[in-house]
This record gives sequence, C-alpha cells and structure tokens, in this order.
Amino acid sequence: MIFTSAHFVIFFSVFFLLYWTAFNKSLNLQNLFILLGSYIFYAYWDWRFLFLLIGSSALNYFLGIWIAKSQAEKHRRVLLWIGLLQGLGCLLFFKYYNFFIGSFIASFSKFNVVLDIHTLNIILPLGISFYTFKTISYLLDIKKGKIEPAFDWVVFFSYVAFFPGLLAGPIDRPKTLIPQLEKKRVFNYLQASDGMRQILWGVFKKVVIADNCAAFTSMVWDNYKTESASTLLFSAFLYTIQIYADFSGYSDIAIGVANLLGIKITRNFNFPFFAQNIADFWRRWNISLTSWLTDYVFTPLSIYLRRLEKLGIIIAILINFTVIGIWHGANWTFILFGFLHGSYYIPLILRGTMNRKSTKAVGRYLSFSTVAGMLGTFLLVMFTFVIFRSTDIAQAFDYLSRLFSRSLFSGINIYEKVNMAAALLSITIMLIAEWLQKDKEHALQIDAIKSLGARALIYAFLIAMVLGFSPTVYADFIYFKF
Amino acid sequence: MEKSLKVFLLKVCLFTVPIFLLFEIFFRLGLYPIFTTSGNLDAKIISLQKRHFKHIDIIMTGSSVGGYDIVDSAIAGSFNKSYYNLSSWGLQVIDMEALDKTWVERYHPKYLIVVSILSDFRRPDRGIFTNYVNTDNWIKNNFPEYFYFSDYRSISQLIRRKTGASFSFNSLGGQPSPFIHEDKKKHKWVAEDDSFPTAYTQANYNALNSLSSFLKQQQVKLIFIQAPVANSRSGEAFYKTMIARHFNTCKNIVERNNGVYLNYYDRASFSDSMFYDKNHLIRKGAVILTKKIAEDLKNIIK
Repeated sequence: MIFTSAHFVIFFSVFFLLYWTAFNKSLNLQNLFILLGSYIFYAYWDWRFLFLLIGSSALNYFLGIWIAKSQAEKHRRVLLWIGLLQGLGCLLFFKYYNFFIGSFIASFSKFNVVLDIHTLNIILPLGISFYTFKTISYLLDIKKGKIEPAFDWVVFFSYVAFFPGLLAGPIDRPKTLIPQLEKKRVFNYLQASDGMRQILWGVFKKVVIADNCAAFTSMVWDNYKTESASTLLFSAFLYTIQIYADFSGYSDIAIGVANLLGIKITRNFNFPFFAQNIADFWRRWNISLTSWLTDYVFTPLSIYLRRLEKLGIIIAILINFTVIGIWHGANWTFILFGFLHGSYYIPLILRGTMNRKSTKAVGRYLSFSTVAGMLGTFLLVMFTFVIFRSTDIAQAFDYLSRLFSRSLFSGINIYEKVNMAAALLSITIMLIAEWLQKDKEHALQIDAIKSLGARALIYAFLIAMVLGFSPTVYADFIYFKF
Repeated sequence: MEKSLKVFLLKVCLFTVPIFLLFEIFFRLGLYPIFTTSGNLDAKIISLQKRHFKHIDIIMTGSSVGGYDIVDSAIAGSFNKSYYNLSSWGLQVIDMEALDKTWVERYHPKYLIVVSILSDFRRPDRGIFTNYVNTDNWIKNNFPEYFYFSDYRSISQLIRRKTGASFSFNSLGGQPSPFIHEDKKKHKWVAEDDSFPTAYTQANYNALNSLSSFLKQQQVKLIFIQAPVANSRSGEAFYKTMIARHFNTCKNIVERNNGVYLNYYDRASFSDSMFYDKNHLIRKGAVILTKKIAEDLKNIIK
C-alpha cells in the first residue's frame, strides 16, 4: 500500500473514521487499533515478514523490561547484546549477506582463487532498516537509563510498527513516540488540518516533481552512453531534486498521516537545499537517521578517539558517514557516497567550523555569499548523488567522466516535454515556497495568509497539479528499498 | 462525533467531492480512464462495455492478426451464434491467459478461438493489464470510473490517450485492417527482430497450458489457430526446425486439454507475396485464410 495509491486512501479513510469514532473510547482501544492497522498495512506488502516484525517486537519488549529490572551490569550488557545481535543479525543477513559473499568471492578471484560459496535469493523485508534502528535505540536508551521500558506490550508493539513511518521512516526515538502512545489522543482540529496540508505538500512533491524527474532520469541513466553531457548534467541535477522530493515527500505524508491520528513524529527534513555547507546539509537531510547515528555511532566513537583530537573527529566522521552510506544498501556506490560525504567534513573540522550553525540564511533576502554557499553545497551533493544513483562504481565514474566533453554546451534531450515543463515549474514553486517558509515545519503552513479564499486557491492549485501532471510511469518511493 | 471532527470532515469533503465530480464529468464526456497500458485494448474494453453483453457464444482472442474485420465477418457469418472479437495488438499468450480467463468468467462462452502467430510467444509479462484483470468484475462492469484512481493516471495522460491513435471497431469487435495493400516495405523485413525462441517462450507455453486446462475445467472449447508464417521467416533450416518444434508443442498442449488445434502454415498457399510483413497478411492472403478457417470451423462449432 503506497501512500499515493487509491488502496491507501481507502484504507486510511476507513481507519481514520473508525479510529476517531468506534475506537476512541479508551487508550487501549486506540493503541490496539493502531497496532492492527499497522499490521494490515505491513502484511499488504508481504504477510510473511509480518512474523519477523512481530518476533522482533516481542524479543525486544522482554529484553527492555529485563534490562531495566536487572541489577548486575554484566547481565544488562548480555541482554543488550542479545538484542543487538538479533537486530543487526537480521539486518546483516537480509540486507548484506549477498553483498559480503559476492565481495569476498570477487576479492579472492583477483588472486586466481575460485571460491565456491553460493549467494542466496534473499528478499529484503520492507522497512527492516527503519524498525531495527527503532528497537536498537530503545534498548540502548534503557541500558543508559535515559528511558523507562514500555510495560504495556501494545504500546511497545505499536511503537515498533507504527505504520506512517514503518516503511521509510522517519526513525522515531522511543522518547518521542512511546510517551505519546501512552496517552489517550483527543482529536485536535488544528493538528489534523496541518496534517492534511503536509500530506498535500508531500503528494505534490512526490507525484509532480519526483515522479516526473524519475521518468527523465531513468531514461537518461539507461542510455547515458549515448546522451550529451548537457543532458547528463541536467539529469544529475534532476536526480538530486528527485531524491529530495521523493524522500521528503514521503516523510511529509508520513508526518501528516501521524498528525491526523493525533501523534507528532520526528521531522526528517529541514529544507536541505538552503544549507550553507555539508555539515549544515546533514543537519537538515534525513534528520532522524543522521541524529540516530550521531548519538549511537559518532558520539561514542569521537569520545573513544578524543585523545587524537582533530584526527579522532575525522576518523569518527568518516566511519559515521560510511555507516550512513552502507545503511542505504549493499553496494560499493553507497559506501563511496557515504565516505565522500564524510570527506567533505574534513575542511570544516580542520577549521573548527563543523558545529557552527549558519546565520547567513536567516532573512528572506539572498546575499551573494548565501547563494554561493547553497550552490556550492548543492553541487557537492549532486556529484555524490550521481554515484548513489549508479548501479556500480564503474558506471558512476563513466557517467561522471562523460560530463566533461564538448557536448556539455549542446542542447538537452528532453523526452516528455509537457511533464518536464510541469516538473520544472513545480520545482521552482517548491524552492520559492520552501525559502519563504523556511522557519516553518513545512512549506504549506500558511496560516499567516488570513484570506480563506487565497488559501483555498493555493490548495486547489496544488491538487490540480497533482491530478494533471503525474508521469506515465509510476516510480516507487526510493527509500522503500533501503 | 465531536463537532471539530465534523467540521474537519466537511472541509475535506469540500475538496474531495469536486474531484470525484470532475472525473464523472470526464467519463460522461468520453474522456475514459486508462484500464491498461495498451490504447488498443482499452478502446476495445470500452467498446465491449457499451454493448452490455450478458453472454457471448464465441470469443475470438489473439494479437493483431486476429483483430481485423476480415476474420470476423467470415467466421461470425457462418454460425447463428453471438460472437465478439477481443483480439488486441501486441498481446502475448502470457497476456491472453490472464485476459481470457477474465472474459470467460464474465461472458461464459462455449468456444474460445485463439489466433496465434510466432511473435505471440516471444516476450515476458509486461503487466499491461494487471490492474484491469485484478479488479473485481462488478467494479469493471458497474463502476469503471474506479480506474481513474486505481493505478492513477493524470489528466494530461487521459487527454494524450484520447487525442492519440483512435480506434474504431465494427459490431463484432474487429477493426479495419491497415494491411490491405501489397507490401511496401519488404526491405525492412530483414531488420525486424524476430528471433525465436526467446528466453520468455517457455513462460508463454506455460501460459497456454494454464489457459487450456482452465478452459477444460470451465467446459469451454479452445480452438487454437496457427496463422501462416512468411516463407522468408521459416526458410532457414534452423527456423524450420524451431517452427516445427513450436507447432508440436502448441498442438500437444491444446489437444491434451481437449482443445482443437488448426494449423494454416502452408508455404504454397501463403507465399511471401501474401504478406505485408513477416506476420501480417495483406487482404488477398487474409481472405484466403479466413475462408479456410470458416470451412474448418463449420465442422467444429455446432
């Protein structure tokens, strides 16, 4: 059930009405209904992996309680390791087994050693990267004494499986979501209206921008050897926009859906294209994953390596970003993507400006240095997204090398002109709207416009764009495969 | 229900109801939804829908070779039975399997005729009609507007489909053959990709097998018609062997399931001059073929 499908609209409409009417009598009923809805939502994809989700929830539920109750540190550590091994073990098996075996065989074959190890036909359970990170942070936080375990199993199982963020995040921390699940929700008109607006903005970004860009970039990547450099450059630009519109569009819909259920989940994007440098970019991009890894990977590592001073921070950052890269999937392209982003931090670390928050982009008006900072960051990011999008490293470098040819100054080969025009117009609208609304949670928080008619016109325009200009080929949400 | 919830729902309705009304107006104005990724098949579905058939005795299916009006008039004129041609361009047997099962469940025919060419066994399932086949029959027949929203296609696509190639069908479902003249582009024959078998041929055989056994269960007689193959295609020794093997495979599958297998591969009657391209006959060839089919069917269809 994709958020933008008719099936989800029907499912959620029924769910919403029942949630606020028949199942609104008690907290337990509300949570049971959320859990049931989440499992139906998940089983719609592949019911077989529902057992993995339930099993993982059950194990971590008991481990959480036992860790909290246990007095002996050694005992607590063993329990934590059981949870970590289960979570990371499943993740490694389902996501990386074939990659490791394949890389192992390939490296031995370079020395003319043929290894007869078979890869397996493994299907990746949807959302495993997201819910595993949720359960790991739950156990780690209990072990550190930051939170109390959830004793109500329905609350904990709902936390793990909460359907708006189950398949592609945001990765909610236990301290954000569990307390909300422990309190009865009351329908809040303002929250629900804001949720609807955020859903509309997310659908607009996904359907009109991301999907139309996807139709073009897929075509170009499939035929990149015969395309002009200008087309390749344009496609790299569009892919950077596409991945943002796709993933942030998904996150907007997820947050909006959660708001309709009276629950606030973690914000995942904060207008990353307005970032002034790479550190600023990662404070705004996939925030829930970045902050998760900052807390559980980067911070412990940098403390461990603190005697090495700046070198320690560089090592910690490179490891952290390589983990971010490999989190996306079992491919050297993702590892290189992460490593490069880590490398981009080195000048900032050496200058001691890594944690300095930019104040340049506060006002509405753009200065030259603000634009230069944003453009520079965008170009650095765009370069890495070419690697991210490619099927392997060889293709990535081949694609990048083809950018530097005389055909860079030739015309761009546009396939679907009407849809491309709609996409470019929508990209412009998105960037302007997000710039004007950059102090808000999302671009469609337009309460400041007092005229109801003007607001209705904006909504109607976005709806018309969605109805009018979706592409011929539907593209799945990119982050589903992670 | 709380008042604030009622107000919220009312506002949501104010935005959503006009959308549904808009699409209903589109439907009434003939801007139909997209059922499948094939414009030809969609046009046929709409044309069939408008006829409100409850039952069809003889259904003809296949790809382009079976879709033209020359075939219809000769076959339908020979029997006092209801008949409709549901062939559509570019279908593979793997497509026909899913579609034919849907038609059989809907129209309960006594006979299903499949007109087949070699090219029907070359490509994989492209999911061109998955959305249509997987939708409940009641929705298909009574609420086709549903297809505007399931597997959503934008208004610009609907307009493009509407203003693109137009298809007209006769009362029997056939369409005028564009291959009426002598071949004008024989030089292109060599360039045509007609390799056979392909990696997907076995999947198409499996589909034929599945369709045949389904029809047997449903007590529907399958009549499998093998259309002629151009000599220039079947001339080489390699292809001759391959084609003979293909004929045998199809014959075995069909006859194993109580179907009738008719083969019109006849190098003498259907020389290259009868063909428009490697698959399609010109009118002269089509008339000869149709007469032969109609004669043979008289002994089969009672």
